[in-house]
Amino acid sequence: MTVTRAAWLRQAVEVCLVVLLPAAIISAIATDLGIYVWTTVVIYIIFAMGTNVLVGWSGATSFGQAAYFGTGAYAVALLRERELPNEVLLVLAVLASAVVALTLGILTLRAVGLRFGIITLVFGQLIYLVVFRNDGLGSETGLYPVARSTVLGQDVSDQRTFFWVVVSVLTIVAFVLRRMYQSSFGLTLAAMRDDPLRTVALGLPIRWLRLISFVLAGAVAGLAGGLFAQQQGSASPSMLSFALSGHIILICLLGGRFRFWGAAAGAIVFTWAEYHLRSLTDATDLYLGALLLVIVIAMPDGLAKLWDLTTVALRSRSRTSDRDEVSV
Amino acid sequence: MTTAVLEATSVSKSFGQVHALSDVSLQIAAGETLGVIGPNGAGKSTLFGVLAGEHRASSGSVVLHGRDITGWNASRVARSGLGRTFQVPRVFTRLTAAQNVEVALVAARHRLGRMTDNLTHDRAMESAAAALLDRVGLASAAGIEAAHLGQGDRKLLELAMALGRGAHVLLLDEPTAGMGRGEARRLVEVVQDLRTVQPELAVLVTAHHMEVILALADRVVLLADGAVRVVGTPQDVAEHPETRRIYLGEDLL
Repeated sequence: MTVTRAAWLRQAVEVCLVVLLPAAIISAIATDLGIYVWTTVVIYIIFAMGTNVLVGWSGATSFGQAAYFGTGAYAVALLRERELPNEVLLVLAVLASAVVALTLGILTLRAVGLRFGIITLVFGQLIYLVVFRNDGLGSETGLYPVARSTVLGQDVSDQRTFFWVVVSVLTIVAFVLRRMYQSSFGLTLAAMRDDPLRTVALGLPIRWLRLISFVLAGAVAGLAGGLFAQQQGSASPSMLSFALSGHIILICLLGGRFRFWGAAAGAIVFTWAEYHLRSLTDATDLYLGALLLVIVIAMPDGLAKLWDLTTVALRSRSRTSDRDEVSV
Repeated sequence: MTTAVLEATSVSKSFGQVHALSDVSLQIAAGETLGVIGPNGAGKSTLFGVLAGEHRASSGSVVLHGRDITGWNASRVARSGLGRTFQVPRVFTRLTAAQNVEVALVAARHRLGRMTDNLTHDRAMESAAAALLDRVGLASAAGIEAAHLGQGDRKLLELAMALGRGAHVLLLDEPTAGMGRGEARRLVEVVQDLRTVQPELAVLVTAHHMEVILALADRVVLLADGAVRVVGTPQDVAEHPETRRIYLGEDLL
């Protein structure tokens, strides 16, 4: 079908423009330190885009997403002496976090709203404590050293090469999520977010939708965690912490949870703001918190609102809105 | 009498000490429109809730297309061909009118098994949604976010969604509440039109305005204090002494 192919192509072009083009520019001009920070940014983008499946798409916000990020990180760290290629390592990281997410997802099938949020939070803390107290998992110091494993048989331990590995993963993740977002699956999640009871009245399998989106978010978080362990050279309990779960939700809100690329924008601004603030002051979290508060209060729809205002101004004379415009 | 597509037998529903429905029985045949009238608190919304599977009946049974659906949840009842609109219209506010209908079409098309369907964005569904919007007179609103639609348009949108869902039985809960006269007339026309297009469609409608019931219903049930008081043609029920007593001289016509 030509129509279907056109949709594939449009989405692929969009992902390339948004991800690969800026990545190429960054890679060309950034210093070594810059590349290091940008790699972290890209990993956060992957994590945030996965988390936004819950925060923005389905509306069933989880307050314990670090549990799945950390599961991915520890999966990779535990396998550090096996000399597995990254293709295998990352698949295992995804599987590990998907299994953990599936377990909690099944247990929370009937919980909605605040109750769901609290259960995910408590579960996240439980995993954090189990790891923190477990000598086999390195307790409070974590597991190290974690080397950067090969990709397609190539050594990628150099920071610039590893940056491209992470960017490639983001490209794949963003493309898959982009397709889902514009599919009927994405549409039904949005419906569920707007009015769960109405979705039930239409006969949609709401619990399945919730479970699938929860596992999807967990799996993407695990992928990001697996990359992060290799970026940092270790897996540590902070990767499972509630603080991280909170940060990633803030990133979604900051960027604009109702827009597909909102979480990505949030990750860039948040990570760089945190990085610069840290070199200026000891009270990073205080200033960062204040900054976020201002942005979230002034712009409930996040930074994406700025994008909207810009495009509306640019397009004011051109064609009327259609489906694509609404879902960007 | 033809066989009923929807039949409630001796349905009772209590919320604690409150008996919202007691021993309510009614049948509705294919192609028939049954009006349900009654003062506030008569149990109309509770009756709809029980029929649609949102409330579980304390006793009694509900049969849809010959299948006993008593105790089924709302989702399962919807999948069996019963569609409803809400007194306060419930639409997906951040989605466009067209997307709202598409959600209903997705719900009608598959359950979950066909993931490939889930991942394709198909033009056929878009045109089906456009056709349904056109049928309820909302063609021009297709690209508008439901949050920006007026109350009347939202009610019409709900109707399009129920049709997209493939309902054989339609429950319209106060379809004209909060509407201006012009809008109410348009809704009545849309429903009349639907019955011409889908002659088998059974409609159960509640309304405060007798005008709406007279225009739409083939038969009318008067509900008061959770019980059926009078059943008959709209004219008969309107003129029945019991109706007059309950409405305390309110001008029904």
